[in-house]
Amino acid sequence: MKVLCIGAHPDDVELGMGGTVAKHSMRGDEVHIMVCTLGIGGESGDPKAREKEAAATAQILGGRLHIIDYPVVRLNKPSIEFERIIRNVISEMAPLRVYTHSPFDYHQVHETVCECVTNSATDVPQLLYYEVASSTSPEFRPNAYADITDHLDMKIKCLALHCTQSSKLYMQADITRSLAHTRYVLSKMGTRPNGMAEAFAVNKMLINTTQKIQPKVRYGRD
Amino acid sequence: MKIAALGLTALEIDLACITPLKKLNQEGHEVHIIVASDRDSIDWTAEEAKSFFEKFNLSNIVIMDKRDYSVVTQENANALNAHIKKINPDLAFMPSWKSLNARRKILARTALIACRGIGSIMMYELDKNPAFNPTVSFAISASEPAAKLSSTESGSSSLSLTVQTGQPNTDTISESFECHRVSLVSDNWL
Repeated sequence: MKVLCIGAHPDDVELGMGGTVAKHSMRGDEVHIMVCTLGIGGESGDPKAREKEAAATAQILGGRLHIIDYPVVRLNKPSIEFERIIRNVISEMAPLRVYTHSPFDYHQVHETVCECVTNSATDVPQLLYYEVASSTSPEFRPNAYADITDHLDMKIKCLALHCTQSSKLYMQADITRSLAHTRYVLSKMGTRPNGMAEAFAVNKMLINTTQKIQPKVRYGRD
Repeated sequence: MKIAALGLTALEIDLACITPLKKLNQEGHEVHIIVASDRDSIDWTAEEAKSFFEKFNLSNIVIMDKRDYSVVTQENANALNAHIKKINPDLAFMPSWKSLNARRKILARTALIACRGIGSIMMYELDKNPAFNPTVSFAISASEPAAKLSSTESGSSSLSLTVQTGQPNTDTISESFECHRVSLVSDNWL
């Protein structure tokens, strides 16, 4: 399965679905991580440092990193130009599944990315939204979950590598662990007492049951 | 993969999801049907229901009847859970818990209690219901013969001929379900 995970900022994919990326990768799926902006023009840390952080975590998670590096100040609202870029990426890559930010996210850049990805993913069979603890609103109503009990430590390790963001509350390990456990319990998807999950909302999911995946372990540096 | 399909009647399961069930069964997945009716005599007798599903090589049939669906009861949930526990499905199909049909809604809520711990649950709706939001479809070859014995125009709103995707085939026909929950990256095709 070819999977494309799109995040506005360098840490968004790890924050929203780092465990799921690791799980996809471990299953042998071809995972692509796309970062829309490094924050040039913004105030969220040195772009070069953020690029290195994203590259390090992508390698750990086993995903191939693509950086668009669109100026963050131009992502305050959707634009035809940005949507065209996303459309071209999706068209060339032809992923079976795309993950991106939820429309119920009050961060203007996340919202822009969500809208442009959703508009561009008309030919993608599966589109799911993830949450980020920093700005996803309570209207986010998940109905898909990935059990990341065995991958949570890796997610936390990846978040810790985003040193430029380490002072932020939502980047703390306890917050990540707490949300993951809550999501697992509320999902009712399993009965593991220490279960951890990441939550998603399905925009659309066309399931082809004949899809064959050759399981293999394809991890990057751990 | 183990799959359980629940309905008030055999006819309802036929209308709502027989095509993906048939396909999953053909692909080697273990499919179980649970008819949990509140009637003394359901639309079809148990024998009729069994012989119908056997036409699709679906032979794991459980018939529960005379259930009280005036309210959600722990007794009903326990009775259903006894079968669910035995089957231990990875995926369950059931009516929508927002169904406009009161009996179907009670069954769905009962089933949700009975299915705690089941990874994926897809819900169907047979009536026109604006609260029903189907987002999950199963790709089925257009050349696949229609499996339904009795799919009529009446409220079969979940049969969609137009799938908004270009992959894997533009000519796929799919039935649509509301995703109550799906366990991602848990199976080859999820």
